[in-house]
Amino acid sequence: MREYLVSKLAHTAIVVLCVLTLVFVVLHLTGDPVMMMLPSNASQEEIQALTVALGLDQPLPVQYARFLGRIARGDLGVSLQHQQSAMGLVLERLPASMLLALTALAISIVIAVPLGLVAAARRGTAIDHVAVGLAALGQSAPIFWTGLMLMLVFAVTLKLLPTTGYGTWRQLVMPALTLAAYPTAAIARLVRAGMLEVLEADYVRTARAKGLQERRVILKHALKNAALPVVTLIGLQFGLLLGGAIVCEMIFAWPGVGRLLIFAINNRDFPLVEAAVFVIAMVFVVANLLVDLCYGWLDPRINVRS
Amino acid sequence: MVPLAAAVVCAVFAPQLAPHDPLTGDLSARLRPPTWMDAGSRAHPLGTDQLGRDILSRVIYGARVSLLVGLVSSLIGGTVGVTLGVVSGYFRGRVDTVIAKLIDIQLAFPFILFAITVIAVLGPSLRNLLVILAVSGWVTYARVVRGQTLSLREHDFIQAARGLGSPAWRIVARHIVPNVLPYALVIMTTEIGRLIVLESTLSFLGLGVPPPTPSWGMALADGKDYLVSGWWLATFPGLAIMLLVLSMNIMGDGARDLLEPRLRGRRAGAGTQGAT
Repeated sequence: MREYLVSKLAHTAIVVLCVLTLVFVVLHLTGDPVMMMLPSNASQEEIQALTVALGLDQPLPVQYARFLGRIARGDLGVSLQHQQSAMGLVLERLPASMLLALTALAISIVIAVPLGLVAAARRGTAIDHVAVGLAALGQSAPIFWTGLMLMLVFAVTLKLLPTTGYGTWRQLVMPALTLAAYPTAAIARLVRAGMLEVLEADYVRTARAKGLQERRVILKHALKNAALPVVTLIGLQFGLLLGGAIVCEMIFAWPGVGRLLIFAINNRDFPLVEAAVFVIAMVFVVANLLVDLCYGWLDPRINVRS
Repeated sequence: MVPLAAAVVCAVFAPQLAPHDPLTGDLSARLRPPTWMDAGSRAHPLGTDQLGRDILSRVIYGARVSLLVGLVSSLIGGTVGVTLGVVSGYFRGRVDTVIAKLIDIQLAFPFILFAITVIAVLGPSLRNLLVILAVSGWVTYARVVRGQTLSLREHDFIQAARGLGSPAWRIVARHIVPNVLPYALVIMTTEIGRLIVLESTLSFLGLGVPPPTPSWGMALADGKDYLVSGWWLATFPGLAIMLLVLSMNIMGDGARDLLEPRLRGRRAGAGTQGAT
């Protein structure tokens, strides 16, 4: 187990390093932040002075080494636009993003697991067809269209919910439902597929032959064995939700890290872009790491030694 | 399959099918509702946008961008992915280690984050979009093809070819690739749908195909500011995306079912192509 943990931590560190390297390279390949910061009539001396002050006169490998050093110290610089610590700005917005992602994940689990169970238990019936159809639609609709349609129905037409804002549960409903659509569909399909396979197993046939109630057979015997891939998917979906949250936050003006990232990109605020990408990537890889570490705990048969 | 066929027809015959020029607007006819509503007009069946441009024409022309981007980037990503997957799975060793690590790394973080950053910095253009979408797709092909290749290389017919002195490139080209291509084609059917959604998302964020090229994502981005006065601006382009992706996914599911080993085993004459 220790070897597995060390291996996974090393892999995580490599992934984060690669993400940061890619962001650094891309941000420094194009554009000149000095020209973005200075007025158009800035003199050559002013341009040169700011270039030296920002360390942009150094060769790229030197800038990269300094960049890694700052990352190690937790210093991702100062936002060019806001003149505040870039990491501080991102960490301020992180709770909003996490709230949105976790709420969406909770909604998707609450809806998807029973839906998948019922669809599998009632295979071939109208319920099954409806569930499969809804799952297919959920996985096909772009997240931004889902959000706009929810806004059109619940905010514009029915006037039940506010279109934007942050702070009350009513403002959380539509963004969370929008973000939950795809994972709900994916989890429901996997629960259904897993249950269909497990319900054909010999031990389930034995349980039925012994006269157990169908509900007990499904919930006590079948579901546990179908759970491992589902739990894996749920864990992975949390990381993916962070990517989807970027679009969701733009639609609903949700004050999260994703929205901050888009504004930083549009304003070429490099330190803020680096900080936002770093934080999102870290949350994603930590979520994946926790899922990996849970494998052995969930199923004792799994040998975690490679 | 109907939405897919309709999208292909629209993409190919857009100039003949579209009732108006998608780029030209009539400000006196801006924000007209669809034809079945009051103040609607038969000249604009799905209404007009904020610049008086015909929505139906923009949806028809938008199919070109979506299908072109989805197909081309999927082909590029598929070619790269299959190549790397076969090389990785057949030759093993350091090559396999490096490629497998690259796959793991790319799958380990949300790609849209990377796509947004790269395109925003490099600038939105069709070329950048195709490249970034191709980069997003190769890992799926590579991972599946690598697994299939690892299995195939242990089959008797491959061992026999090796024993007969057949060079590695010949074994890969004549025996491995033909057997993994069906799997790649199955992946492609769902990948095209995924890439269409990704392209629409980037266009929605202003990072896709630059204007004035009509794009479904861009139409949705325009529509989000007019939900109250022009709900049709956002509804119909989004519906088009959803229906197209749905039909691609259904096609992919069907193709995957055909390739299921249990199903293949029950069909007479089924089996892998072997050495001759």
